[in-house]
Amino acid sequence: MAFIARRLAFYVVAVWAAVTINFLIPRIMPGNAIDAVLGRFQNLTPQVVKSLEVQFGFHPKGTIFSQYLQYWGDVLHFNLGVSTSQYPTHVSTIIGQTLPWTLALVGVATILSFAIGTLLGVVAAWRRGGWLDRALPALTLLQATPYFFLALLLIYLFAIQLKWLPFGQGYALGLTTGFNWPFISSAITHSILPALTIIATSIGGWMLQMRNVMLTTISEDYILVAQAKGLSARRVMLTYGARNAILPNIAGFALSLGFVVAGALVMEIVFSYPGVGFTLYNAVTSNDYPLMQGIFLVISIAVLSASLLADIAYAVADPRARTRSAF
Amino acid sequence: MSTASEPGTPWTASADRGSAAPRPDGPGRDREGTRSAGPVLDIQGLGISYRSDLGDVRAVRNVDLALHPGRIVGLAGESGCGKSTLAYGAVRLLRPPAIITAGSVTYHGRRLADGHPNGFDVLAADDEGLKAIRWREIAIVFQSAMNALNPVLRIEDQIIDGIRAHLPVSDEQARARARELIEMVGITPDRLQAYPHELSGGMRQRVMIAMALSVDPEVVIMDEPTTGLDVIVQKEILKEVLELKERLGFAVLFITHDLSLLLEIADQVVVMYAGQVVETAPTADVRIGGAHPYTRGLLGSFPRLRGPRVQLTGIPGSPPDLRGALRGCPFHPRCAFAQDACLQIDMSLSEVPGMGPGHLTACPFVAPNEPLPEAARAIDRATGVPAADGADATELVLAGIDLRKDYGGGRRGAVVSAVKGVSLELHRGRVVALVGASGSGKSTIAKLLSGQEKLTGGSIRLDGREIDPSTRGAFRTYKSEVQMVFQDPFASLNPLHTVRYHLQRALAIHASRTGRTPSAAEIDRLLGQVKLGPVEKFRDAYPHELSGGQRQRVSIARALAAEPRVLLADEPVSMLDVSIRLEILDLIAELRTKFQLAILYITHDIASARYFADEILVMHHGEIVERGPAEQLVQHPTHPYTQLLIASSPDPDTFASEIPEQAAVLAREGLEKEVAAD
Amino acid sequence: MTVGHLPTDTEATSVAAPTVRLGVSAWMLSLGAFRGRLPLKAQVGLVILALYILVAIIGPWVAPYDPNATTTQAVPEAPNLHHLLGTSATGGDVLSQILIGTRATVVLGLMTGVIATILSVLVGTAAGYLGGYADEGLSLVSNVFLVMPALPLLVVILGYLPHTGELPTAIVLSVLGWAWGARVIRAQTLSLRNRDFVLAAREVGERPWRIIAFELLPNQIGLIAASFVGTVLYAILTSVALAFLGITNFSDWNYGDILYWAQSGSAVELGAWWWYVFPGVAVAVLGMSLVLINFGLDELSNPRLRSSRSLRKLGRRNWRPADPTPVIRDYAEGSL
Repeated sequence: MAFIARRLAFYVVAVWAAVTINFLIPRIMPGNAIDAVLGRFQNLTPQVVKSLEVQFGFHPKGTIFSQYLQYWGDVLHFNLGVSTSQYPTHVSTIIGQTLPWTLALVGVATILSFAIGTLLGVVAAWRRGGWLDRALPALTLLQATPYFFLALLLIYLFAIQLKWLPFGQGYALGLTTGFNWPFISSAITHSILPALTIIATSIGGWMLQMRNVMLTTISEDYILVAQAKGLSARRVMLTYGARNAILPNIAGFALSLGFVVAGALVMEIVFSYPGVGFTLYNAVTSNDYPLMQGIFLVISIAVLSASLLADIAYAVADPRARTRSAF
Repeated sequence: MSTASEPGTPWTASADRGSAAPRPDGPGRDREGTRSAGPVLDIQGLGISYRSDLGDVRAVRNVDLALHPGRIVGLAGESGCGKSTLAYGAVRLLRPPAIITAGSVTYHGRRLADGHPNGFDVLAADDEGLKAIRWREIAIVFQSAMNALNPVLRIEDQIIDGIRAHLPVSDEQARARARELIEMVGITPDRLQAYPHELSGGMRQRVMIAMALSVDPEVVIMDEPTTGLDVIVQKEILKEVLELKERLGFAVLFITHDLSLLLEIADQVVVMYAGQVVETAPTADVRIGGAHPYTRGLLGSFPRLRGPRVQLTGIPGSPPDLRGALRGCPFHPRCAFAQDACLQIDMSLSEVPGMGPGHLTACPFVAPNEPLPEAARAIDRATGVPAADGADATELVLAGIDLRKDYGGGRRGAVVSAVKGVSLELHRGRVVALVGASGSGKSTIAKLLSGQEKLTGGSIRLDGREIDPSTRGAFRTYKSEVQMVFQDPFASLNPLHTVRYHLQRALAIHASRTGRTPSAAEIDRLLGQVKLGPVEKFRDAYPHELSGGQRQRVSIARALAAEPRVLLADEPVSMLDVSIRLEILDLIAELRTKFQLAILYITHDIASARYFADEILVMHHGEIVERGPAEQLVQHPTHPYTQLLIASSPDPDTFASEIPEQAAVLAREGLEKEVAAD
Repeated sequence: MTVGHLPTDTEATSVAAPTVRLGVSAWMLSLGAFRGRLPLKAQVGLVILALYILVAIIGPWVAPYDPNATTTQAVPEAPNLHHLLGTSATGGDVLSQILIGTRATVVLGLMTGVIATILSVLVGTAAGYLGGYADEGLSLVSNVFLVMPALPLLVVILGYLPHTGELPTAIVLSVLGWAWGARVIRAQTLSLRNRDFVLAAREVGERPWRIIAFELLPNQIGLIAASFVGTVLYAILTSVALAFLGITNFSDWNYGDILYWAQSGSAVELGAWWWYVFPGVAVAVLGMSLVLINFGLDELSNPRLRSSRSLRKLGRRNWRPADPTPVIRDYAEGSL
């Protein structure tokens, strides 16, 4: 389908941009990051210093173009360098350990939030002026609350005052990671508060958008036709109303993932959750530039992939998409 | 077209009904005496209001209407007269702030005869009761089938869900029924798998009709079912509706702003004005001239294709505000026959003397054949009959030679030729009409001649010199000679700027050539030229404070500010109400005489071209298929497409006439093209 | 946290922008903005925002204590007569910190809003008006910026730029935050560009810059305002988050800094709720005022979102679209 092809082309450009930005940042930034690193670690082995130099181009060998090609080669081989703060662990290894945590938590929470929010938005629009509709502004105001502030409040309430749920880390200390019940149950209870934070702050946005589009959709003629046909209110609401109103919401979903993920990363830091956000934070505070960049690259690609999936969902959901331009 | 349904399926109810319903064996009116049953849908004293913070709009006031099986009642009136509100209100599909305030709606369907011996009270029904009535008993064909079909569902699913909501049929049976229905309206069953956006406008409207007939309703309400379609497609669809009605025997409420259309297809015509019925009459009576002055005004607003080229009267003014009570006759301020007593009447309908019992009017003062009073005739237009036909000796201003325009190519693949070598000449003081269906390329010609689009081939000559108006350098000089009037007066003025701003800018831009300053005096002069007075009232008005006709006048004044020699008018009246159209056309005609303007009048309506133009060019698929002096071309068309166009145009006198064989073939081809185009 | 910049604010306008109806509402929005018929929500939001701006101006003068003042005490003090909002663990007065922190927070937000909105308008209008390859190119760039996760990128960039001041931060935030507005404005420009009144202005002979400045932009004021408000919200929430992470080091106090010290001082574990609740609420209320303003702008632009007084007069607030038309006999105007 032309639509998908165009979107794919767009994502190729976007990935190229992400990799290139990643390549350029250390090279155009003022100051000398490698000196900062060297200053922090007096006793780095010459190999590490050399590898850092190659990676960041501070003592460039060859033209910037050949460095760029070399960089692409490294990226394609998942060779993201060596972490300086957890020397000599490879950046790709660290990401491999932390990424699943983030994917599971942020992925599930975001999809839940989107699904529930959208559904509530449909109901709020349908029962205009009902309690849900009237509660919407209050819910939406949560989006003006910083993720981390809400996280702090939740921790205070549920973990410290009520002691219902644990917080900090992804699972209780002393458990063996793996496919065993104590570990899984611990991981789940540890993820409840972080997930709640994500859902609470983003659900109002999805709901409001769905409600607004739904209100516009309700005044379309085909809704009136559906009523004139004597269809059940449920079918009018879902198959005729929501089925159309959700299309802009899916498109919006693809575009706003970047924002959602950004918020989730900060949330991880508050909870010391062992995902990429927390790791990124640690990398920044310890000047671990290779790790920082590796994480940014992986996050970019994860977000872009999710957006692509949302776009494909859109193309599947809207029969008109195939004749429409991609932008 | 397949006909009877399989026996044993639930929709064969129509067979039983057939015996009781009048056989389609003669003209509708003759049946009246033989039928014992009363109306199938009976609306009495219906009142509907729209609540609003600025006062409630009483959109429908005390309306009676009855529909009989096998008969078409046509409901006519200008936009805002309440005709759609009445129809949707009768099945309670209106949403708040609309409320029904008075009256009764009773449905006397055969299928409900046992449970409801006195008829089904629609206004007292609850959700479930209405759900059962809708579609199964009373179906609606919506105006714009583009918006009326769910864009994300296949056609088949949209037909089926209506069937399954009312009949206990299997999926297989429902699918079979959908196939049968779609063939019935002349579409091949493979289109069932299409989505609405993959169908042309005409096909979507057919789908809508098939859907409405899917569970064999006894009443079908059609709300402007052919508005926005080309006349040829319109004709085809109307023929189908008539055939289906004859065969299935349902009653039709046909709503349209186009009275001439009703004269062709309706058995009974009901004319509404300001929420009230002003006249109801058998169609034959309206054909010879209505009784109510408003009906007569409407009839006088349509240019005709047959018969002598008559002067048209139109209706000056605009409809009243429907908030609050109206005193006496609401038409009184626009009526040529108005007298003081008009403010005292109660608008009840009474029989017209000398006419049959079915002919009622709300005006007790005017007899059907009473001539227009002197005063009204004095303001009758001087124009209407164009300059003498032999006037081609006048000076040639603008010529398009072998104009070509292709779209697409490059990345998008196939090249579409919108204009394939069109030549035309605009002479001083003469009106050339470019007539064609949508997609014929006529608007592309306007865009080429105005410089909005670049030519693919050919040339444009102003005073014999070749010029490319789409280039930056030539644009301004060209604009001072060639100006344009747009189709939609609601879109062609910036809502944030006053009339003064619009005119001032136009004057300022062309000041160096015209020698006129953008002063208040000049603005007033322009407003005077387009007859917008008193000028104080309009100078500082914002567009949303003006009516459609007034906006179009401002639009024309803006074009005149450049003192052009050529005016390109792209469908200048098609978005206006019927009664206003004539005023605007007359204004343009008057300006033509006054300033010796060369005018290109682009329209889909060949009847108005006959009324307004000296020469007519008929355009079809990017080519001029026929050209000639207006009167001669309309009376003696030679090209089959022109013949088809004329035969399809609504005109009370031509409907019975057969479409010539060759033209019919062309129509079929056209339909297939339409399918292929989407 | 940056959800305030999500489609919720502006998408309702952009979603249906291609339809004629929305085209109409777009200018209704502008008209409404001109005539001061702002919905109540927006008025409340504006009043709150005005209060914050007032505090941003006078805050440093009325603050009772030096926010950096330290005492020898080692525990945070609960709110009392001397310290109305309590103190930090090192004895800093939370009220003073908030009063002074308002300026940096608000200034950074507004600065980013202005820079990003200028970028959005330039790119959006250019893409929409020029069309063709210029449009393709600019749309591509803004879409790339849109899907790029901004916060991690910011973190990385600021990681390379330690001790960044407000202006560089505002610039980086703007560069990463203009894309949404540009997208919405482009869509609106595109739909306006093909409207007859723009064609008519061309026909009259107006030059392109005049068409953009006098025909297109005035019709988008509401949209631009909404985009500005959304960007300010995004900037405030993001900058507070960055300060909270200790990644920026502004010369002045920012709400995020207070929360950073509260977090690193284990305020949650100590039960010193005042230390993080007050600054957190300060951010939330500021954000709320912006969300309210955009609520109001949304309602202006799309009349369907307004709760109708006439509907309420029917006495059935819980009316559903599938309900049949109400029948109210004995009807007298204004009686319901």
